[in-house]
Amino acid sequence: MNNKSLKITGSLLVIVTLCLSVVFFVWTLVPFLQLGNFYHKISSAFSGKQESFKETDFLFTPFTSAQGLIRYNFVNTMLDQYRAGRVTKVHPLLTVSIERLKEYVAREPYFPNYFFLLGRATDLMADLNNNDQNFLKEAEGYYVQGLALNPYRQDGRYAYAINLTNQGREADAQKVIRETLSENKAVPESHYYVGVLELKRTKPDKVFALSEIETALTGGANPDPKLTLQIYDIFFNYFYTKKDLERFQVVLERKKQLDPKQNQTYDAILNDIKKNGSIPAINLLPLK
Amino acid sequence: MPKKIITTLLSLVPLIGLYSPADSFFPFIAGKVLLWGLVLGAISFVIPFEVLAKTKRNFYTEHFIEIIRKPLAKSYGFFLVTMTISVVLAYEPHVAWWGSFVRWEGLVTYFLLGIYFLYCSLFFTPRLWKNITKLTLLVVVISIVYSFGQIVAGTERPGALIGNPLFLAQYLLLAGGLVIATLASASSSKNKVLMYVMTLAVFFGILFTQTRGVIVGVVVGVIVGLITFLVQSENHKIKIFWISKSSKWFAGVILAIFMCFSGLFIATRDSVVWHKIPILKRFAGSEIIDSTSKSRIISINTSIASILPKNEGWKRTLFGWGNENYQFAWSKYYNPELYHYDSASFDRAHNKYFDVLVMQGVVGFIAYLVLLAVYFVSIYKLHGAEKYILLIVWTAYCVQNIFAFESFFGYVYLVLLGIYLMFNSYRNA
Repeated sequence: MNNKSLKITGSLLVIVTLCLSVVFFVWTLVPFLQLGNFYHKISSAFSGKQESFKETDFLFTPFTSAQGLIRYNFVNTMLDQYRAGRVTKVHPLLTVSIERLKEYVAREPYFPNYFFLLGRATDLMADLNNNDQNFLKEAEGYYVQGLALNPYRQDGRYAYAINLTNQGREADAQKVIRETLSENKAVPESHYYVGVLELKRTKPDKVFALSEIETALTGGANPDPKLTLQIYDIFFNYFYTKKDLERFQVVLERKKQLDPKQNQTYDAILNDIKKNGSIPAINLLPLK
Repeated sequence: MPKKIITTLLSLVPLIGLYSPADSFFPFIAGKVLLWGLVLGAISFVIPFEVLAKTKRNFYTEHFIEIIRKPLAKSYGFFLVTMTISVVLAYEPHVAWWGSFVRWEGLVTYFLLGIYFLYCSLFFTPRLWKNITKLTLLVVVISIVYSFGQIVAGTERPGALIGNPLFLAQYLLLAGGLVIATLASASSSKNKVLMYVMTLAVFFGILFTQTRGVIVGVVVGVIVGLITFLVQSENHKIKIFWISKSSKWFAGVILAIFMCFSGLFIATRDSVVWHKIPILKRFAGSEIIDSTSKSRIISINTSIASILPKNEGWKRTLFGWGNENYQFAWSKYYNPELYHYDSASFDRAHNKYFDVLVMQGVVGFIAYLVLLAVYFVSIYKLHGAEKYILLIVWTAYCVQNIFAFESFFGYVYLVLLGIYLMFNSYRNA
């Protein structure tokens, strides 16, 4: 190799290594700082420091490999706050988080889970705004986009069917959930949501709903315990009123598992039934 | 001075295995990538000062050309070229180029791993390797002690500071195997004793993780290594403790014990005895295909469907969906049966070969197999104990790939293994 070509190769190597230095730093440090920043801010967001959270644009720009994760977790954390009952009204951070995730999916419309999450968050907005139909319609759009990318995904289908029910489109909701169940009857969660949607119908068949939810729970489904307890409160009152001894006992047995603190009360009722062969007089449960 | 800075920084890379910032998402992978990126960034900054020195310019340029002509460098280059084509044609280009924060396996990562390979080769000295081995040994020992502590504290499957039992097992296999091979190639008796101790420690370290894929890999690796030894090796008289016999006698006895134990275990796997032994209980029972295995089998079918020409056209068959794009292929061809066994979303096939096939297509898969084969041939060309040790490690690695995917720190040790093999080919030459 002559001197000239050696010089050229050497100079190229220098330029490349300097560029690499920048690439190594930018590729790792920037997303890591963004995520670290987000982690600290989201941890302190519900201790009266949320103002600084909104203004820190470094969290959302530049568009690094951490952006999807930050924005997804932002919305998810907000939903967790509502699920845990720590927030009950429209929180400014919920709106911000949804907007940020919308920006992301507009740029990267490939992640079905992000659309499903947007759907759930927008459903929550509807719920917080007295079942606002505009939000419900918007959420439906997200579910449709998510299901276009992941057509057979059960959790997306369940949320979509509930959204349709809340829009008053019972027949459409039933079609979605029955299709989901028929694709694989072994999935216990599908039975659970068939039962849930049955209860949400204008004229629900509570016997069928109980049978489906019992199939799900016996099959190993692990749904939201709060919701399930509320559902069994409905069954409790209904089968008590109907004096349906067999199903009332099924409900009591399940309530013992869902609400172990009240075991003594349920056992007393069950013993009474065994002794007298009929349901004793009891107060109906307050329904939520 | 610049060279000293560069070699010091390169030798510190094994310590990254101990870093996992507690207050971060995915600290066990992201934390390590961060430190590695910073170290390599600093090295890149210093390199011109070393390479530009008038007296060294010719040396480095020629050395650089010599390195890129090596079969390992060429095969990695071929792999990178096929990957680049897949990424250019990717379904979701952003994540294919940059990777996700969870896995860090975009094209940039593979490109920078290539740069790391180049830096290590360019500044390789026996002293640098010695330092890398010493620090790797230290981190491996700390990891094993840490995982033992986790077991004592009640963790069923420890991950130590690597964070995940599977990734820990892979790390122990590659890093531990590399340390053992280096110790085996040294002549001092102190190193030989240390080699035996480390072999036992790494073996038990892998067992602690209860990672079935890696354990099966090690079993297959030991059988392959011992058979190769019996067929090929010269027969020396050696003494282990008080027994003085030929080396093939020892290999034959170990192989026989191994085979007898495996046979006994398979024949009596329903016995309650095995269910009481913490590590073996994961293999015991006639219900070998549990729900995890079923979900993996379903995902393999999904993987195949996602690259069939009749479903996706020849573009995806030949070049795949692009790096980190497995999740999109999986979503599109998701089988509803899977939810019954596993409700999580998959971003990997839990089978490295299918991962490569889906993400890089048939062309990338061939390039990947070529790379694995070049590693294998390089190992096969070695001499003495290190050859058989690395043969076991490499067979185990290739077998466990059927059941798992890799983590970033595992890739770092694949690069170091490549460096070791290149250095030994220099030495042999």
